[in-house]
This record gives sequence, structure tokens and C-alpha cells, in this order.
Amino acid sequence: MAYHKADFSAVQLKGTNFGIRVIFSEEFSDDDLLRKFESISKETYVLPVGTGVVLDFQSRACSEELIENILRRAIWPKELNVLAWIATNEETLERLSRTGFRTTEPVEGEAHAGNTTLIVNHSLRSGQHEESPGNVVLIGHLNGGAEIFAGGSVSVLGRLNGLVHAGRLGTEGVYIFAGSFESRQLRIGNRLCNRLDSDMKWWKKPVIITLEENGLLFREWKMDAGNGTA
Amino acid sequence: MGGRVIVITSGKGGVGKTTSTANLAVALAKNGKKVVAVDADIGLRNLDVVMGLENRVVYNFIDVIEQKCRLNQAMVRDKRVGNLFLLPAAQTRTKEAVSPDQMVELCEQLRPDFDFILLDCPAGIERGFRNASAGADEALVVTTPEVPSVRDADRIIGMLESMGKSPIRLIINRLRPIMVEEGDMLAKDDILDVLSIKLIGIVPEDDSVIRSANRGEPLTFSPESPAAQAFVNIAGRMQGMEVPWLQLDTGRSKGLVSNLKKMLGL
Repeated sequence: MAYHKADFSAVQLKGTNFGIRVIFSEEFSDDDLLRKFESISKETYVLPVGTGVVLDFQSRACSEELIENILRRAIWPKELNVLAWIATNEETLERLSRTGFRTTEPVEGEAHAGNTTLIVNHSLRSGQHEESPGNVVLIGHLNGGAEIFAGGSVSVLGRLNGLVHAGRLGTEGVYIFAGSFESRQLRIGNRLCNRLDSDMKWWKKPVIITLEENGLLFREWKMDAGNGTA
Repeated sequence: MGGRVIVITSGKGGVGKTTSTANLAVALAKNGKKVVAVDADIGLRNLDVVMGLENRVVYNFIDVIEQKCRLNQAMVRDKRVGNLFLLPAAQTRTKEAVSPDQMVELCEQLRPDFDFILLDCPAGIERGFRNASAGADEALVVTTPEVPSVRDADRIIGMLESMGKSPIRLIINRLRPIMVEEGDMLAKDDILDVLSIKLIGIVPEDDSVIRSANRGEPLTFSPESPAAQAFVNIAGRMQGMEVPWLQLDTGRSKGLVSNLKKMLGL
């Protein structure tokens, strides 16, 4: 049998307090690395809610093509929740930052805080900001110029006029609820939607917004139906 | 117990802070209150011009803080209403010439001698705003019925709340009833829905405001115009009076059918 380096250590998995650290060796070719990463079964990454994986490239030089292939062949098919992309190579780091990925280590306990819910029991005025690694429930209005950034889902029980980013670490299985939707930009995971205006049929209505099929799906929330209807 | 220190602020520039300060100061003084209007907009002094006291300014409140003169030397008495004073700002200095602590001290010096100390705040949320707000107990936030102005007012209200100012009340300036009726301007309820503070008055758009600013004669000296009446009403509410709300007319002819119905009592 022919010796193949990728079979041994092109990709190492290491358990951490935030989930799994995926360490890419500097010694192997891009093809070896991709083949190995792709071959690890999806079940390996089944992690508790709020945890995820950190991709660590160490000092490896990483091309745009490699990043794209990692996303296309491993991250998206395995539906991995990537908490951070770590690199010490300056060019790689710059390339990752430019794509908008988080390039700093997850803070201790941050991933587990994804299970927590921050409740804000007053309206947020212009210039005010709330940030949480978990979910956020705002009992009040989010006025224009105010912001909520959350690792999890965001519920604004009043008027949503400001900016919300749910799943700010790239988590896509989250939602945004608004008692009255009046915002011109939304962010879920790594997606941004700014084609929102008052001509849309759910403007000023209660809605639930999720990310599906690469786009934002708005569903009007109807209390009498007991759940959302499209 | 001394006088009430009230900052008149907005966040956005050009919405009518100085006009409101001048007109409210005159209206309160005409109601028998002893009032000082302090121009806290250092470097962009205007309150003296709007009040028609420009030519009588000798010292300013930076001179007081730097002990170049006494407080009563810097204050300009308005001869048209004996109990109204102006404490001007320095035009040749910047906002950094005074600290929030010095403003607090200045207000404390004024407090025993006046019923109302009105601070005309500069636009923005930086040093000038912090200086002017530092010495105040209460705030009047001025906004025009425009989305940017309302958003800036919202920002300022959040900052005033975090500074513990209370009460914070709202003046809606330059409302044009006809535009509101046509749906082209934010209505009172739209603004209150966002800002969630108590309304103290609505000042309608009025050409006489421009004429009065150019002449240096606040409208409330002879309150015939709708804007002047609105400022007089606000001054009354500041004193705790129950003042009925001004009926804002769209100025539109009701039309033949409407007039006929009125004549017939329909």
C-alpha cells in the first residue's frame, strides 16, 4: 500500500470548551488537506447547541481558491457552525478578514453563552447598542440608529426600525422576530439584506425572518393562527 | 431653593434651539419671572443677535470662568423687560475653553438669583453638548417634523436620560399642518411614538420667526403670530399652568360645499 501523508495528519481535530478545533497542517498540499477534511463524517461535528468549530490554519499560506473549496466541499455540506478562522500567516489573515470572517479566538465561555437569552426591558434609542453571544429579547422598540448584535436569535417585541444582526458568528439557523417590521437592513449569519423598503407587503407588520435557500424568508406572524404563515 | 436650570437642546443643528431659547426667555420674563438666557454655544454665538442685544455684549461667560470679570459684569440686562438677562458666549474661543465642572459651577452661581436659567445648547453630541447639559436639571428637546431631526432628538434623549436629567420634554418646531394633512410630513403622533417623552408644545411654521430673528426682536414681545402664541403657551406650561393646545389650522379654504353645510348646520 502506498504511503499517503493525508491519511495521518493533514487535519487534526481537538476538543475544546467551545466545540472542536480543526487544525490544518502546514506540511500537506491543498488537495491532501481538502480530501482529508471532506472525508471526516458529518456526525463527527454533531455538537451541543451554541458550540461550533474553529478552523486553525496555523502559519499555512492559504489561497482564495482553498478557502472557497473548504466552504464548498466541507463547511456547507456538513452545515458546520464556524466560530472563527484563525491564521498566523499575515497574507492568509488579511484574506480571511477581507471576506468578513471572524479571525479572533472565541472568548472563554462565549460559545456556551449561545444558550443564554439577554432580556432588555426598555426601548433602545438611536445610538444605543446591545450585544450578546446568545439570544436577545427586546421588550420595547428598536429605534432608528439603535443596534442589536446577537450570536443567536433576536426578538424585538415592538417596532424594529434599527439594525439587527442575528447569528453574528456566522450561525444561520437563527431567526429575527419583529412586532412591527420597519427596518431597511437586516443581517443573519454571514448574509446581509439591504433591499428592504416600505413598499413591501409585510412592512409595519409582525414578522419572523429566517435564512433559507440563500435568501431571507419573511413570514407574517398572525396571532390568531397560532403560528407564522407565509 | 434656587431657580430651575433647563437646557434647550436637539442634537441636529438648525431646528430652532436659539429661537426657542430667546422666545421662551422673553415669555417667562413677561410672566414676571427672573430669567437668564445663557448662550452655551461657544465659538458660534448667536443668542445675542436673536435677542437684539449684540451691541451691548462686553464680557462673556468664559471671561467669568477665567476670572477676568465678575458674573454680573458679563450679564446683559434686557431693557425691554427688566427681569431678563443674557449671559453671552465667547465668539473667539472653542468648546474646549470650558469644562462640564465649570459649567456646573457657573449654573450654581446663577441659581440663587434667578427663577429660570435657560441654556442654549450647541448642536452635536460632543463637548459642547456635554458642557451645556452638565449644569442642567431639566431639558427641552427641540425637533422639527423630519426623520433625521427626530433620529437625532432620539439620540440626545437617550444621552440625557443616562445623565439623569428629568423631566425631558419635547418641542416640535416648524410643523406645517397642511403637509401633515397631505401625508408629506411626520405628524405629532408619529414623532411621539418614536421619542416617547412628554410634549410641551408645537410651534407652527411661521414666516414671522425669520423676520424677528433678523430684527433681533423675539416674537414673544408682541405675541400676535401663531408661533409667538405657541412659545407663550410653552412658557406657561413650563410654569405649571394648564394651557389649552393651539388649534393648528391648515389655512385651506373649506370650499363651497363645506361652507354651505356649515351654514345649514350640517
